[in-house]
Amino acid sequence: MGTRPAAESPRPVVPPTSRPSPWRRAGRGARTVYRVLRTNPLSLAGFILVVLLAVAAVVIYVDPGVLPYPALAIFTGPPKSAPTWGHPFGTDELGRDIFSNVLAALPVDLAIGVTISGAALLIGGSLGLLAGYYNRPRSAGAVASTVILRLTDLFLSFPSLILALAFTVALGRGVVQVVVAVLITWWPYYVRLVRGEVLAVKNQPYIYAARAAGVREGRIVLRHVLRNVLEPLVVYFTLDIGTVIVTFSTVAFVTGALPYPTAPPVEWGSMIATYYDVAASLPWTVVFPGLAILVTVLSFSLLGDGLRDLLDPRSRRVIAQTGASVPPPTAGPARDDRPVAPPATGAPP
Amino acid sequence: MAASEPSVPLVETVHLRMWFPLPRSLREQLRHRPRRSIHAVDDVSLTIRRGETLALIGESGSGKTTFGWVVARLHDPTGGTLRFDGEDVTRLSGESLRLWRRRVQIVFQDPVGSLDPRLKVWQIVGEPLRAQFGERPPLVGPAGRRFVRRVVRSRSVLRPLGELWRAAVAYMRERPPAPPGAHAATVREAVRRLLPEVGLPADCLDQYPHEFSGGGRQRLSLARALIVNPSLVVLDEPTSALDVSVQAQVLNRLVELQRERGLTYLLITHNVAVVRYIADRVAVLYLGQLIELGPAAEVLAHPIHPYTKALLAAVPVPDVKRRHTRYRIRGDVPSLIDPAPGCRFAPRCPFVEARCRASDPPLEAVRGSDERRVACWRAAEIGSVAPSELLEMVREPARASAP
Repeated sequence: MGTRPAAESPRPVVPPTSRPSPWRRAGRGARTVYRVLRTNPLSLAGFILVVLLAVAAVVIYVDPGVLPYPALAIFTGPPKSAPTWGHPFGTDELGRDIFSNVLAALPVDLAIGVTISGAALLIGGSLGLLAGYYNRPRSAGAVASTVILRLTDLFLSFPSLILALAFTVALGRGVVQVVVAVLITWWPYYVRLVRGEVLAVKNQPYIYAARAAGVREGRIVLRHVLRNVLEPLVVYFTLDIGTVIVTFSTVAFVTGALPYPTAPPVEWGSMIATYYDVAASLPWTVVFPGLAILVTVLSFSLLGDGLRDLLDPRSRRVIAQTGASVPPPTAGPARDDRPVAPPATGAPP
Repeated sequence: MAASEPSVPLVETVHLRMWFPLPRSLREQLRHRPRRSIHAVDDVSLTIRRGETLALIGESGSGKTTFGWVVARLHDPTGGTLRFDGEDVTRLSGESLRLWRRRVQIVFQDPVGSLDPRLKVWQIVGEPLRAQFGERPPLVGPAGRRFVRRVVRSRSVLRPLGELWRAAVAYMRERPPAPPGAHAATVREAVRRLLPEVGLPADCLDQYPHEFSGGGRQRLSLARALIVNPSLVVLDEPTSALDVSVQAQVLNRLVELQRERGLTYLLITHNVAVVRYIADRVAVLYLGQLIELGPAAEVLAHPIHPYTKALLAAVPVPDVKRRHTRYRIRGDVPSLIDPAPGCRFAPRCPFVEARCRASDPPLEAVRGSDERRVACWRAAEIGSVAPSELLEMVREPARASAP
C-alpha cells in the first residue's frame, strides 16, 4: 500500500519533475520542425515562402509607404511600359505601376484566404463534429445531425462556383459581399470532412477507454476526437487557403464585384478582370497578378504537404531522429478493432 | 452500505441481458414487423467473488466481450440487474456513473487501438486519475449558482455581454480550487511510481505509445486501469495480441498484481491455456448464454456440457498420434438474431435429443459438486464422456497433412 500512487487522496504537489523549461522545449520544438521540414525540400520551400508572404503582407499593411508607388496612383511613369528596372512588372495604359498594385493586393488576398477558410473551418468544422459525434439513434443529436447533413447536401448539390457567383450577384458589389458569397459555398466541405473523420475516430477503442476511465463526454470530444481529427483538418485548411484565393479571384473576375481601379481594395482577381481587355497588347498587366496567385497558392500547397508529416507524432519522431525521409504513414491507426483471434496456442510456463 | 462485507459478492448479475436492436427496413416498418435484435448476452446470472479470477471463455461471437463491457457499464444492459458490492448499478447514470467507474477498470483487447496515438504515456496512463480526481465540479457550489443566476438574469446574451463577462470573471475567481489530481506534476509522479509495477521503465513518461512493443502497450493499458486503484479489472483478451513469451510475462505480472493489490479479475479469453494458468473459476458462454460454471481445475478436467467438451477437445495437444484428428462438432455458430427456443447448442450437439430442441435447459447444480453449474438436459447421462471421445480419427487428404 505504501508506494502506491495515491488514488484516494493524491498528495498536493510533488517537487517539480524532470520537465525542461518552456524555452528549452520551444527551442527543441523549433529544431524538430526544421529537421522534419528539411527532409522534404519542397515543403521547406513552401514553409519559407508562406512566412515571407505573411511578413511582407504585414509590413505592407502596416506601412503602405514601403511600396514603390502608392496603390492605384496614375502616371507614376510612362503609360503602357513593358517591365523595366523602374517598373519591374510594367505599367498600364494610365501609367499605374503593376508591381506596386500586385504588392498592395498581397495583404488583401491573404486576409481573404485565411478569413474564408478559417470561418468555413469554424462553422463547418463544429457542425461536422456535432453531426459526427452526437448521432446516437433516436436522440436529439441525431435529429440535429440529420438536419445539418441535409442542409450540407443541399449546398453541395450546386456547383460551388456557380453558387458563389449567384450569391455575389444577389448580394451586390464589395469585398464583404464576395467573402460572404464564397463562404456560403465553402463551409459544407468542412462538414463532410470533419464528420467523416469523426466517424472514423469515435469508434476507436481509445474513445471507449476514455469513457471507461470516467472522462466527461465534452472532454472526450476535445481531447481525443478533436485532437485526432485536427491533423487532416489543418492540412486541408492550409491547402484550402490557396483554393479560396483562386475562387475568390475567379468570382471577382467574372462578376466584376470589385471594380479594380475605382474601388480601393486592390485584389489580384479583379486586376486580371480589369486588364482582360488589354491583355493582348499589355500582357504583363495580367501575367504578374496571375503569377502572384500561382506563387501564393503553390506555397500554401507545399506547406500543407509538409504539415502532414509534421503533425503526426509517429513520422515526426522518426524523421527528427534519423533525419531520413520516411514513407507517409497510413492514414490514422488501423480501423479494424477486432483482429482475427489466433487459435488457442500459448502454453504458459 | 454493504461494501467490503466479505459475504457479498463483488459483482452479481441477475438475468443480465444485452440485446442490440437491428435497424428495420422501411418495408418492415410499414408492415409493423417487430424490431429484431442481436442477443449478445441473454439471461446471464453469475457472481464474481472478491479477489478471485473468473475466466469467461467461449468462441468468437459468444458474447464474452459484450458481457465484460456491460459489467464495466460501457453498454447499458437491456434487461436484468447488475449489482456491484451489493449496490444496484444497472441504471446508474450521469455523474454518479462517471465516479463509479473508478471501481471498475477495463484492459482492452487491442493494445494498439486502445491508446490514443497523439497522447504521451503520462497523459494516457494518468487519464483516469485526472478524470476521477482532477475534475472540478462543473458549475456547482455558490460560485456556480451565482454565475448561472447572473447569466439567467441578463436574459439576452448579446446586449449585456459585459455582464456575462463580469459574471464569468467572478466565477473563475470564486470557484473551488482545482483538486490536486488536476496538476500535471501530481499525475506524472503517480504514473512514474506506477510504471515499474507493471514492468515498464519509469522514465518513459514523455514517449508516445507507438514507440512501445505490443507487450509494452498492453502494460500501458494495464497501468491505466490500475492507476485509480479499482476493485475489479475486466481483462478483455489481455494476451491474445501478444507473442507467447510475452503472454507469459504479462500473465505473471497480472497474478502478482492481483496478490499485491487484492484485485478481482474478470478475464475474458478464448485461450484455454490462459484459463488453466490463472483462473480460479471459469464460466463458459455459448451464444450469449452461460452454459457451464465452476472451479477452473474441475471444469477443465471434467467438462460436462458437450460444448465445453468440444472446446477443450479443440485445444491442440503436442501429440504425434493425434495429428490427424479433428473433433466432431460441425457447422458454424448459429445466428444471434432472435435465436430459436431450446438449447442454443442443439444444432451442433452430438448428444442432441428432442427435448433439447423444445425448451431451454436451466442452469442447475451438478450432483457431487456444490460449486458447479451446468445448463444441459442430459448432464447426468453424458457428464462422464471424456472430451477426447469427441475426437475421431480421420484420414486427412494428402495436401492437408503438409505442415
